[in-house]
Amino acid sequence: MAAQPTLSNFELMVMLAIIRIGDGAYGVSISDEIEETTGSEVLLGSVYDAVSRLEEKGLIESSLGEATPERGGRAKRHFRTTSKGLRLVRETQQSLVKLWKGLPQLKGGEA
Amino acid sequence: MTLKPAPRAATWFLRQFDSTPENESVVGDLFEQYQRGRGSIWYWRQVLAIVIVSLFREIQGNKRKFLVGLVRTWCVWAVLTSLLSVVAMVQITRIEMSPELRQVFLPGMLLILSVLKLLAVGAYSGHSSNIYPRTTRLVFVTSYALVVIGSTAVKLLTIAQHQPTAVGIMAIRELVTLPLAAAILLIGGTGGLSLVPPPGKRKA
Repeated sequence: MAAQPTLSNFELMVMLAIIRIGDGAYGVSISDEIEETTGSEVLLGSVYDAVSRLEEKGLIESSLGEATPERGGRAKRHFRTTSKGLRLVRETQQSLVKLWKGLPQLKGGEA
Repeated sequence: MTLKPAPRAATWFLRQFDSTPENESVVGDLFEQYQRGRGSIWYWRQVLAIVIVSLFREIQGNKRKFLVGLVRTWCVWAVLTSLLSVVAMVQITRIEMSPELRQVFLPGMLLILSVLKLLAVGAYSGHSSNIYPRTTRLVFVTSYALVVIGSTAVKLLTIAQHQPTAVGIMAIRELVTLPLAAAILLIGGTGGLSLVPPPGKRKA
């Protein structure tokens, strides 16, 4: 049986950003989405690295869009999650929720 | 709509050394952000980050190629260093000249030898990186850079132990030759000094 792929913290963020954006997720929009939700700056290089790994694991797939003038005639590379990717995100969420439950240290917003 | 031109050198650097698939879409993403008001420093920072991240990924995925590149470059470097030093010393001892002239001639000769060595190894490195696809070019370029920097560091440390007063002069000489090495590396690495085989014969 093939080993189940795992997601690093940043890979999970990228997956969630792709799901949130829906159709038309690409490098810049993924980085913007993560920046808006986390409040910290995201280097495009980290996003490209993460999407390369996710694509290798078969969790997302990509296709080239049309070339546009505001991009100097260059096409966007669009990403979308695969069913395998969606399943893994769901499983990761369930595992995290299980780990979260019943932790007195995390109740009431006290650090 | 008027588009402002993105920093050309940065774009060129990215095109040469980023191993991300669909490299042009990455250039497009940066160009789009640049049009939205991001500055040149931001652009350069992103380019360097992309290339560095790319480098680590490539080394991780091509460990064997990286080690082979490192060993081969080191061998060429070591052979050239030994040969050129022997030839130079033999020639210098044969030439009759005053001690004052010798003081000028010797550092000049050593500088020429360093340049010759860098040219040869740079061309070799460029050729090595060019016979492989663009995606693994960075692996060879890094192996070359490591050999040059490593050799310089070892040389300076050795001199610091035996002739502490000469370290300053040597360090200045290395500061002159290292940017030259970088320039040769870029020219060699992008085809200027290489005989690029036809695409069908390229190694995978």
